Amino acid sequence: MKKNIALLILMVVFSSCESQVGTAVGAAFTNIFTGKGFSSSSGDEMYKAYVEKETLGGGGGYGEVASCSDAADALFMVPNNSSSAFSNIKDKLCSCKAWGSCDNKSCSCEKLCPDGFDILDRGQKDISSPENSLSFNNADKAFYAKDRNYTGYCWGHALVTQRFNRLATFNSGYQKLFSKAGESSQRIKYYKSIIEQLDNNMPVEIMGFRSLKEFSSDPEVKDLLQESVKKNWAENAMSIQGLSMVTGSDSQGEDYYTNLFNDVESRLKRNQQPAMVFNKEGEATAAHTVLMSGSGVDKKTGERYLCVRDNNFDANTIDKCQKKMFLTKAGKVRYEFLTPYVAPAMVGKMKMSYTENSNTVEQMKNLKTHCLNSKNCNSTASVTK
Amino acid sequence: MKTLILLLPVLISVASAAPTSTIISQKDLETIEAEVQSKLNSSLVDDSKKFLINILAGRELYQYRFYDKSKQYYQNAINLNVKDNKAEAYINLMAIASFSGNKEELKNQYDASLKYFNSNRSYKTKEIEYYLSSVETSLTGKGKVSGFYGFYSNESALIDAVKNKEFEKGLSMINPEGLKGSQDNLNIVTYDALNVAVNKKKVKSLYCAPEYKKYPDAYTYSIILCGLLSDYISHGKFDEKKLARAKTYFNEENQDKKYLFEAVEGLR
Repeated sequence: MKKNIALLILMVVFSSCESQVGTAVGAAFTNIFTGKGFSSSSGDEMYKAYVEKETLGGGGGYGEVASCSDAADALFMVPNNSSSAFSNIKDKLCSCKAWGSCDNKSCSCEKLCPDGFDILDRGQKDISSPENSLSFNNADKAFYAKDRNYTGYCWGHALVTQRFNRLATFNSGYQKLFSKAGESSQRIKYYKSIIEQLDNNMPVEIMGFRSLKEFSSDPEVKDLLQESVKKNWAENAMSIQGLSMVTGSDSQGEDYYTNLFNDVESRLKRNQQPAMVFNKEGEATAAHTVLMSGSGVDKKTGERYLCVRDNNFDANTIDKCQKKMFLTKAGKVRYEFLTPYVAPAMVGKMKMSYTENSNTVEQMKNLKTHCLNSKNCNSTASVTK
Repeated sequence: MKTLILLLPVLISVASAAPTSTIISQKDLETIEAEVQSKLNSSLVDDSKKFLINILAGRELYQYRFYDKSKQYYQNAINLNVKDNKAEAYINLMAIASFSGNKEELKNQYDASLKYFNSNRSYKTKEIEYYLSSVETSLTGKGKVSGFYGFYSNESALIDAVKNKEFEKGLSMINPEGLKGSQDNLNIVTYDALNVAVNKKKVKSLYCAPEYKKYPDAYTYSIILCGLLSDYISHGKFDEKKLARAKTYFNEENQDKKYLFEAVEGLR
């Protein structure tokens, strides 16, 4: 008993040094004794904490326009559209939201760099567009003589794309770094450092390129990125957690799929395109990983669908919800592109990528730090944490 | 059991007081290790609980990419004399060796895993068998693996064939039809290198040529090798300046792909 009390005191002391992160990691440890096993980790616990905080109102409202006027308000205020009056007001325009253009005098750091899912909203109109996609697909189909139906490095492709979309800022107005003759070695090291930072869920500023498509088209970058895709695949797919994805391929039932569709939709609303791993019903090793980019309901059939950003296909053929995964009226999931032209196309096992939550939480924390620095909120950083 | 549940949050809450971008900082790692070790040495914790602590520490650290530390905890779990299922430790140790590119370690981990699963057949599920066969193919080039791990296994075997100068074997592993419209630089330049190594000057065109023509000065393995191969099939020899540049590149920037350069350089 005395030992238990001593441990409790220790726990209180240590816990007081830490907030939700420590609690979450600790809770994940205790899960092993409550039968949750692999399904829960500190990343899952921390993600849940963010959702609960938002639900309770702690994370809400960050995206609202506050002390600054937005463009529409300002134009309404212009009395006669005279050029001088318009110019004066235009100069004062700024957006007071996550990553907004206001400075920290007219908009609080809490609003510019919120501690919630709004920090993931980088203001891109269409994350799924070809410009915001890698210039190359998942590995070549039918490259090997012995195996013409392999799945390549889809998991790595999805995660690398997701990291760029969330963490990279392209600054085409600046010159490319180390572009002079004799600077090849520095340039390669610079590209390597960008990829390494992304692999560690760190935000990056990329100079001299306007988009992911352009950046990943440069052969020096492309070669490095294709290696990064493979490494990311192996980190995920080769693990026991990855292996668990190809354990079984039975249909999971309507309730399970409905909850999963709900989960994807809730993440989409929270500025995420989650990575989803699934296999073909009855064929466990026919597995694939994609990003989910949208959702909706088919007007004709009434079936719910998710928009699939499928890396087996050219980026031009997967934007604007060109590939859909349906939740059928029979409570099954249908996706016709897992093994194209081979029917039936029903999904068996289907789960969120097991690092989805841990990566998201880590990225959010790092984005916030990056945002605070870029908005000169360093002095207030401790207050906003 | 209650004691263990109480102490675990203590251990990990210390570890996660990380102010940096990664959830767990290096400094926190040192703290957690000291704490974990002290608790593992406690008489309150039996071997089965020690096993669980090690597995969970290995898992969490794997998730946050502290692979060296994760390896230690997984190895500790394996070393404990318990009857619990050790599949996670064996599989994730193979995973770390695999993506670290350490074939010798992968071979050692594979041998140890095989021994364990052969002695504990109830844990050797069909998925574990599939996993083991994919690692075996990646190490030896023997067998056929399709699906989830198919590409990994085949690519690893192909790289070994190139490293061992078994060019005809390597070429026979590839389906040339699969290269049409290829976007994978490694696939393209490996095929071209093997094709030239086997068929020499009979080769009239290279799949890598369009990219090379577009970016002739790019300082990266696919373009540099393509430049050498182009010169070889056009003139029967290499441009010495390009060869010197290639040597510098593969020595200083990309030793991982040096095996490809050595295959091409051997054409001389």
